Amino acid sequence: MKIIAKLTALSFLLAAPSLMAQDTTGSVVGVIKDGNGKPIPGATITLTGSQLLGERRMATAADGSFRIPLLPSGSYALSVTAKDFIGAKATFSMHAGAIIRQDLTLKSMAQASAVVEIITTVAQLDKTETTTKTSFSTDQLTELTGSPVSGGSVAYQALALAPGVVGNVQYASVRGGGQMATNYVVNGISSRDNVTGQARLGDTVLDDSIEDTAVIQSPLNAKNGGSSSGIVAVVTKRGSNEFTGTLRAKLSNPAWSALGTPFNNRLGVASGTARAQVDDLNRTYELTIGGPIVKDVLTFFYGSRITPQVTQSATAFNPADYDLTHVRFNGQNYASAPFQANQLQVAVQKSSYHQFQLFYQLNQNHSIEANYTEAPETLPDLQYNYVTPDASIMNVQTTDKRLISLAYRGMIGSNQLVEVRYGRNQSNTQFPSGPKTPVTLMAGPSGMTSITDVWDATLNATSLAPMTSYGWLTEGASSDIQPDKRSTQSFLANYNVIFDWQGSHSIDAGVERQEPIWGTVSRNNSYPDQFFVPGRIDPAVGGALGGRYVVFPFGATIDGYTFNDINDPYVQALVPSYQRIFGADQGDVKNPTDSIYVNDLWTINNSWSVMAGLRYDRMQLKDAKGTRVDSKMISPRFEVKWDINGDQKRLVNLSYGQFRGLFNARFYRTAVEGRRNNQETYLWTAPGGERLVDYATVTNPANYGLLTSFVSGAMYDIDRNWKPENNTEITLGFRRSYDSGGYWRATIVHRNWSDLTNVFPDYRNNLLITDGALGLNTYRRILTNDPTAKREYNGFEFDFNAPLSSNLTLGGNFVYSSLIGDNVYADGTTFGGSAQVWAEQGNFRNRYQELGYSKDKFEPVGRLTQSRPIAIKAFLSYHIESGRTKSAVTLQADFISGTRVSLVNNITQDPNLLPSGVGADDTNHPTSIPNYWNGRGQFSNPDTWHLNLAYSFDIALKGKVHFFTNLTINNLLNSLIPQTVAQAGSGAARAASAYSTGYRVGSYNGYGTPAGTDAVTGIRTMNLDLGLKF
Amino acid sequence: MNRLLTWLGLTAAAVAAGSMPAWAQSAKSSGFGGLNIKLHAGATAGNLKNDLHAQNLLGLGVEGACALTPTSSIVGELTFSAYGAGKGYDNTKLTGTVWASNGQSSVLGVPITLAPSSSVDYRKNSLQGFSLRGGYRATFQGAWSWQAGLTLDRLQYRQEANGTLQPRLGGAAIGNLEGFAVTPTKTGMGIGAFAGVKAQISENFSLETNLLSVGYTSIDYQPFTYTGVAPSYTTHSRHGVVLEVAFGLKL
Repeated sequence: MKIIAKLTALSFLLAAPSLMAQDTTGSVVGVIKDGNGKPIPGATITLTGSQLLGERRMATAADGSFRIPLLPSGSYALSVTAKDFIGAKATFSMHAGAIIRQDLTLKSMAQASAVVEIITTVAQLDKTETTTKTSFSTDQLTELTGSPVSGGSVAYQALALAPGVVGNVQYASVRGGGQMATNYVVNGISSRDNVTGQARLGDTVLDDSIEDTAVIQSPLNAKNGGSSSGIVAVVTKRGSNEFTGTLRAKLSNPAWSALGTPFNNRLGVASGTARAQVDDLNRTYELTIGGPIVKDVLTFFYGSRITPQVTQSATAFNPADYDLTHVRFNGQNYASAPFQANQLQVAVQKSSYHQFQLFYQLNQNHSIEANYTEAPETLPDLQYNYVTPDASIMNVQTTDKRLISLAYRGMIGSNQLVEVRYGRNQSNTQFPSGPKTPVTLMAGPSGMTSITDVWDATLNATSLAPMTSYGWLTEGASSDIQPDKRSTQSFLANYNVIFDWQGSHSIDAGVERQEPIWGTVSRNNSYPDQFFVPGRIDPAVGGALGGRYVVFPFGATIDGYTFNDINDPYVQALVPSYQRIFGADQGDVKNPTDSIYVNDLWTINNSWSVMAGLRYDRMQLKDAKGTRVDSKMISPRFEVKWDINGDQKRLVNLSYGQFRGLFNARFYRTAVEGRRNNQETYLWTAPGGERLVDYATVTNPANYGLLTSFVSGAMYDIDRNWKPENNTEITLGFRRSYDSGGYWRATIVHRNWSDLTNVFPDYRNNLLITDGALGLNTYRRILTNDPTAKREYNGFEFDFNAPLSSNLTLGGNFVYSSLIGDNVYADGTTFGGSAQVWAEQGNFRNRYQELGYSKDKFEPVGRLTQSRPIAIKAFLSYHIESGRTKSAVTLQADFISGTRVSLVNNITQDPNLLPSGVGADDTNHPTSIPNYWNGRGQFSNPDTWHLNLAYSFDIALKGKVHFFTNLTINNLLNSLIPQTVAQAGSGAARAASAYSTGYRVGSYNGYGTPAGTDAVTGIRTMNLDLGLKF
Repeated sequence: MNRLLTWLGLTAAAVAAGSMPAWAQSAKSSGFGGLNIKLHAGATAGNLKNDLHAQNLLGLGVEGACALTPTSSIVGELTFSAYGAGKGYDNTKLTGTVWASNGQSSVLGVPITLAPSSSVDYRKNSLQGFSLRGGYRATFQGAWSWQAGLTLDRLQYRQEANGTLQPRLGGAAIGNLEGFAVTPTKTGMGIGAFAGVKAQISENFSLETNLLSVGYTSIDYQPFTYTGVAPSYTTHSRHGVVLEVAFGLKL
């Protein structure tokens, strides 16, 4: 056989649409023609691949076309034979969900110079695809370094490289979407944490078990739901007829990182310290093996990760480290007596990971796939939450995480596909908890001279990094004593049929159910009462003082300071308080979404195609109280494509789609039964002035008589028609593909979100809830959609892949965008750790609106600009093959503009803003209004950039056994990036100057230091992987 | 960032050198008479570097060429350019006489200065906008060609100014705090020139490097405390120098 040409069918980085965003298989299509361009019917197509069990064989149709669906990701060889023609053979790579086009032209026997011609034309993504995404194989990702990632999965590198993605990889923002609105799926099953929205791919998949990773910017096909931002889809490997496996050691060492260097702050004062590197080799071992159980019928794949057990220890809280050693009583300093200080805490960190997969192929047209993954983990948590000096509590956090899935795929006849999929992703986490001593203490520094020193020194001391604002010392943990249970169940049944009518149609129709469940815990069962006391005198003092608690009664004057205002931080910090939690019911909170959809891709002719789809979602929220939400939504999808020359080289597309998001359980935490707590806080009012009391007295609720705050379950409700946020996307794109490989794509993207979530105090219905003790009152709050909140993204994306030669590839993307929204609360971006706080406190904006203030009064320059306008990611990869060795060197660079910053000072209750007839002292009205300096989001944080280097090497040892290594150096040039923009201000009023510019007169906080001199982030790190594979 | 650009420049040179021979041997050329998308990266010098406190240029353009002869053409390009986002810097004049907001620059011969611990003058400058290039390109060897021409720049200069200034006399604060938080912009037209070399590294891809001058107008906020007169904005017409590398993809 004579080889006519060498095949170069490598599609290194595909950026293109796919049939179904969350599909785990792809298709190859094409047309077989003769040298005159006429189709060849009846030609025999034979497809072989490393992931296929057996081979696929079919004949071309009357128009010379063929389509082979249900192909797992991997490398394939496609051969064509036809009578009177010489055969042809081509190879291509398949990505999950992709439709690859491989057209072939056969030469007649008269032209024969070989038995089989090797085709040099590079396979292209077919224009019939209906989503926009960027796909990577794991081999590609290990060659392309990404920014340093947390969470430990090579799949995250895809996010570091894909266009339109910014933010932390575990909380990625895709095309301006909320960082917690991105969905992460493994084999089509959602693996994201349904409470936090966190990706957690590191818990779910092993690097060497990943076959393919795709970042789906626009999941246009109506089959796809469940994200208003984007989707990260991971497909795992499955066994084939050949035994394959890897043994990988992942090594890193803090000593391999660059040294942290001290720097001078703006006043020339040294800041920061040289960081001593610990020479401690971190090792993780990963093993995968797959192969046949029954050839052509049943295969297996197994993966395991073993992290050596690590014992960590820490000295339990030492008050002396924080200069919190004294109690102020009766004008004197006394040594304080924190609980169990200086005791050694020891905790074991261990984790393991096991993935099992079975693939059963009934015949070439029907298969069943089962996956099971478990990833138990124990993490030390030696100092958490409040600083605890209690060595007796459980000091580890344990998580039991499992992912199971079962899928059937079948082909009926030659044109119908059926896929049925069920999956369950669950995680049970036990946070540290232990025996509760309900008294929490506070102490002050030695040498304090007044009662205010206790508070001031505690708050401002720079050594208090691990402590919360008051520096409370608590014994025992405040976490729930029961595990936190989170799970998501998924079910999908899809039917696809392809037929000809006025062109060609590919119709998807199906049903889907996604049901996140949060197993709730009744908090009043675990930690109902808590007392906060400003210190206990050391028992060693002896006499009447030793071991007794200091109490400063509300209303008393001590050291010249009078505790008579419940809003005074000194009062809140130093007057003993009693917090009572009660009334929560227990029960799971379920948030199912049931969907039906239909989608038609109509290929009218060689140049034009139209896709239209409709998706109907019904979302419910059920808790111990019953069905709280029952909302229904319709999401239309539409796209038209124009292949200018009918050859797929220049493709124009215009799309419109609506994408509904998912709720994170944090959204509704405060409003559902089970997670809702009734809570009251009282201050110490027992008679007797400043004095010392014993334990029984300080923990006696009867001594706390002044109610200062309360939270009632009755205060919260949920709009029964509450909906997840809706993203309306319009894109106009152009894609240019080259015969010799490579492409570029330019896309204009407009996104507009509506149905954003907010909490509205129910002023309209005047549902005032009052407690008579202090005249405290509040309005019932409703979790609902905010009709006026908007979030808008406009972007220009340019991405490209250029094979400069057979061994040199340049690729990357450039994105210029803007993102604006009403405020940081309503857009979902900051629905993070502070979400609950936000929900508890309500939202100032709505309070203003509900009270009838003009929006112009508090949003003087429009919506908040939040964008990072320029994001550039690029890589240059060089491959060398010599003898038995293969190696690749990759340089990867990224540049991302600094996030926009709104500088704000708070104006105290401007009388001009109050409606007529409302006094400034009306407690139901805002007490302050934020004033944005010279417009919202007009300042910016420093830009970030990195240059990363990766080197991979592979050598064949014997037979199929190879040795491989991957070396990655992130932030090669050790660029240190200033962290934040300076915020200038001294805390004093600026009213005195007639020349102050750009802001209103008022007080402000946050005397800042200019960026570039104080806080920096980024440091060079290195990782080394090595192992064997066969 | 300048180190990154240096690396990119070196890498680009290596890419051109490594990729050229195969294409040059084929003696084919492209890019004439067609459209190209071009990605730009560059390093700034002179006024531009000083004003922006940064050296980087990033841009994206569309280039068209009209062949005059088989080896020469007229080229034009519309480019969106972002020059630096500018490192933030502290502009506080910690030494020298300033004006207190009560209008004094000295009291009884003792100069009034800024209180360094309570004064901040944070600035961050950026420049971005569109440039139109027109010029002549001629092949001089195989896949190598040179080009030169003029640019018409319409760039917006933007300053983020945010600060608090506290005058002091001796060790004591005097006068009142002056604060500012403004983001003035100035858009100006400028004419510049460019000259450089292009290497056609394959039928579809090219690499070129240019030295160009850029015209722009800077703007700077002047607080009262520095001048003794009401706050104002000063503008200056400038020219900067850029050394850029551009990667072209055929349309």
